[in-house]
Amino acid sequence: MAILSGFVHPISGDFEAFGSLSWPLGGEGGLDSKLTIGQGFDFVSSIYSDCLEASLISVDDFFDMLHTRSIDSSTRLKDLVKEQKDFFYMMLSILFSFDIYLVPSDRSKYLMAREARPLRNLLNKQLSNSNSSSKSMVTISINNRFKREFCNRGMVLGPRGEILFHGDLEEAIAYESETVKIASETESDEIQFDIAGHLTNSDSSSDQNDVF
Amino acid sequence: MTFFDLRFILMMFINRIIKGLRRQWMIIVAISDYDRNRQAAGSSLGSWESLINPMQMMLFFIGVRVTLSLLRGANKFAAGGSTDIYFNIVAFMLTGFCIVFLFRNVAIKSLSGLKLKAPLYYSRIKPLDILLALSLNDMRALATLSLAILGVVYYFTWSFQLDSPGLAISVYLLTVMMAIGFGLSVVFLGRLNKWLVKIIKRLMQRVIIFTSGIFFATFEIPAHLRPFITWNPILHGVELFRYSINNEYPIPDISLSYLILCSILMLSFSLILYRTNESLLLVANDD
Repeated sequence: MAILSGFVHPISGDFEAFGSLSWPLGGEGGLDSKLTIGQGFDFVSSIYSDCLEASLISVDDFFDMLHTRSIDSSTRLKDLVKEQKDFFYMMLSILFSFDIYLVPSDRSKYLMAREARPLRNLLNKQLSNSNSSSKSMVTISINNRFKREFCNRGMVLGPRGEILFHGDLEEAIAYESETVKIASETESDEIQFDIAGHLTNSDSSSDQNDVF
Repeated sequence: MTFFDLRFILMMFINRIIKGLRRQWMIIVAISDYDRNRQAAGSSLGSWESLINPMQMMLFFIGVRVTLSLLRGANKFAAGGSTDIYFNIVAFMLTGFCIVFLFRNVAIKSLSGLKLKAPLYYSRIKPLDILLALSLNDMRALATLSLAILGVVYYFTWSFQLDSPGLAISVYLLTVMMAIGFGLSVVFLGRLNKWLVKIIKRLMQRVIIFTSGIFFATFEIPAHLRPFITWNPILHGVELFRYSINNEYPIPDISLSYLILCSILMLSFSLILYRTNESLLLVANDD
């Protein structure tokens, strides 16, 4: 998934098709906590303006949804409580119409929570966009409920990334439960999708003022 | 393949290039807004922060020069020495400052490594976009400040003069090109030992400030000493910028072709370096 996101270069293989690719859904990287919701939105919508134009969700709907959680466009990101933060970042990623959506494991768990039901519906809406022929989602979730709701094919990888199984979703789930030990399942459940964790802004501005 | 097919393919190709450039420009502008917003949020001066910082530095430099002129007994509104004939001291210092500090700010930011890294989280943003956006902010701030101060000077002295506006714009853009090229080259230097980088940074700051003609004019330097400073392409930028304002200003040993050559070479070299080493810039900095 890190390769798909563009953070890591592939050591073999090649890209066969190019399309618009989401950042990891609900990912909190990218925006500075000092920015307001409106500034953050303006920034991302400028970068992905083509994806916003193709979206089935309007900007008004986006801000209306945020209002339901008492999130205002002038609120600073650092002032949001955890629930609001999770909601905002997930809503922001779903707003755009990408060709491929990437869903990390922990965010798939969040999407299946009760409070995220409206977001789940919106994601389903984006994925079933009839105007676009090539909508896909890639996830590394181990949440079977999420997989059954959003996926139709599965792939089981070995410890070195080799493909052990590739095919129908139910068969992939069955294969996984047969071959992978429960202990390692529990362990992998705790693995967070923490790519690009080093991409943080530094505030050191002493260089600019240090003339002599 | 018919002529019309070829024309269609060519049109498609041109359209793709235009679309790509348009998207690139939008990304750069978005990052520059992002950086200004976060700087404004972290400062009590708000959005004025990006103008106040260079302004206080510029006023400090002008203050130093005026004080020196007064100590020498020169007219307080003149540049001091033989430069008096051609420029008001504020205009003289300003022309030097806006070129030198444009170069210096971009270079120093790059040498410190990319401080603004978070936007790289979005796969459409590349390190080059960030560097260009930061350069755009510096360029905008210094250009606004220069025009404002020049306007004030013209208002009080009532002597508007800009003999070669085309040359002024060209020199400014060539300096921007050279600064980006230099910045892009030294950003890879920032990946080396951080103490080495600190030493180079300190040395570079002094060399650039004292050999770029902020405080002096080239014609004031004795001919046999000029080769010690005319190697510096920023000095050529500064002197040509002054010449573009007043065509009577003498510029011995200063050449536009040298500035063009340095800018193009620097930019080309840095783009090759960037193309082959882009992934290095995605790794965290030590400092």
